[in-house]
Amino acid sequence: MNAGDVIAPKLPRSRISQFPKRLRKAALFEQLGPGLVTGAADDDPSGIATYSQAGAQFGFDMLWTMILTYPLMTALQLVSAQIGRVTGCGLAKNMGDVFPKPLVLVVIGLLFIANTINIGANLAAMGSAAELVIGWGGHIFTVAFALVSLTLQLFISYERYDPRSPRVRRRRVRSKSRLERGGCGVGHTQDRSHLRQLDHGRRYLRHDDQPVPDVLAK
Amino acid sequence: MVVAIFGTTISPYLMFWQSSQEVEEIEQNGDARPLKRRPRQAPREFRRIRIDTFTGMAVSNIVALAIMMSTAATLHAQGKTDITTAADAAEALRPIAGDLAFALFSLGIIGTGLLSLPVLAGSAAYAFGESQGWKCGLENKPWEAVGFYCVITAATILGIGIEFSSLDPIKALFWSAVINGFVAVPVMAAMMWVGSRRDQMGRFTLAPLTLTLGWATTAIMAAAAIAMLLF
Repeated sequence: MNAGDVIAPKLPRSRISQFPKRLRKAALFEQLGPGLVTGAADDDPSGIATYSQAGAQFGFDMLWTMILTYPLMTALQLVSAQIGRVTGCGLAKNMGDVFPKPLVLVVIGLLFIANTINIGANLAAMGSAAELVIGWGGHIFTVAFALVSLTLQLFISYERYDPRSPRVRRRRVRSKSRLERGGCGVGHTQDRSHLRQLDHGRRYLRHDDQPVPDVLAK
Repeated sequence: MVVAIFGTTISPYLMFWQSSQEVEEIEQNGDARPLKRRPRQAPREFRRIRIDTFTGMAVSNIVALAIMMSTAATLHAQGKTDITTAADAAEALRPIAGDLAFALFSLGIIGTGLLSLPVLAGSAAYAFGESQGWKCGLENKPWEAVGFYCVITAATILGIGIEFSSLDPIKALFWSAVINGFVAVPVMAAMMWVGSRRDQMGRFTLAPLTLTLGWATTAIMAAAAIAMLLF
């Protein structure tokens, strides 16, 4: 998602000054991605239920919770994003590297159960909301919503519904596999070519060692 | 109630989701590499992640604030306090706030529902797939990442099953919140631990402020989980 930043410095100065406003607007937009989607997904129907319950029961007395959770949640999601961006692997893979595999599997199993129940509850809420508006349906809408969502996930690729898609798609390098690019793919530990890649990465890191601003040298 | 709000706002699936999405961003951008391998990309990437996360969480909490304020101003003010589901709230809004507010609220439920389904199913699939070393990612075609999409399908179908079962959706939601709370604490602790280890993060281990806030949140969530168990 660094597209905005990559593009801005590469443009000749004269072109930047030609459309400064448009570019700046686009640049800010380019900064948004996984964090925004994650934040938006946090207000799911179950969340709406909890928040309306809080408002209906306690009036304005619960508003402080949202002020308090903001820095806490931001810190946690920053950690999540940084782990992904720094290591090139998701949280589960990283946890598996550090903690015993069976333990991680138990946690993932619980996550699957909690998420599935949550999906059920969200589908139920969506179905009854549709029924309230239209006056009939309920279960029909529940199944329809589930199938539509599933079909979209299966057959529409992520980049297609990514607002930055045209540029991202052009930049995407299809031919390079995860392994070649030093990501975490299948056979991560056994594959010798991956070890070489690691080696290369280290060497690169060493002679490319430029000072990183203090804030970033975490 | 406070415990429920914390549990809803801070959920483990969001942590799995955002890290996996960052990986997906790397895969989609031809120039991007993991920062451990290509530290030169770090300054602008960290800046981007900060702006993205600060904005995203602000949007999330402002929307939640708006929901609380609107139900406080309408339902609470009218003495209607027994709300259990989102549809309840929508229905109760109708006589108080009018048809338009009711329709908007209902459409909002459907919209956020459609947004949250891929995140819920996807985060479970990323987590399971990554732990098994499968090819993961929503940018793949179904036949390119069979296991990954199988988990997504299973979660969705089982979700429909729960909706159709005799299980009371409100009770189910309560149990999902309880499980969420109990999963969140170990996930958060593990995540903070991963983030502060040099062998995972290289030179990009977490900044002191993030580290402090992250562990503080873990402690608060642990306290909330214990409170949930006791009351």
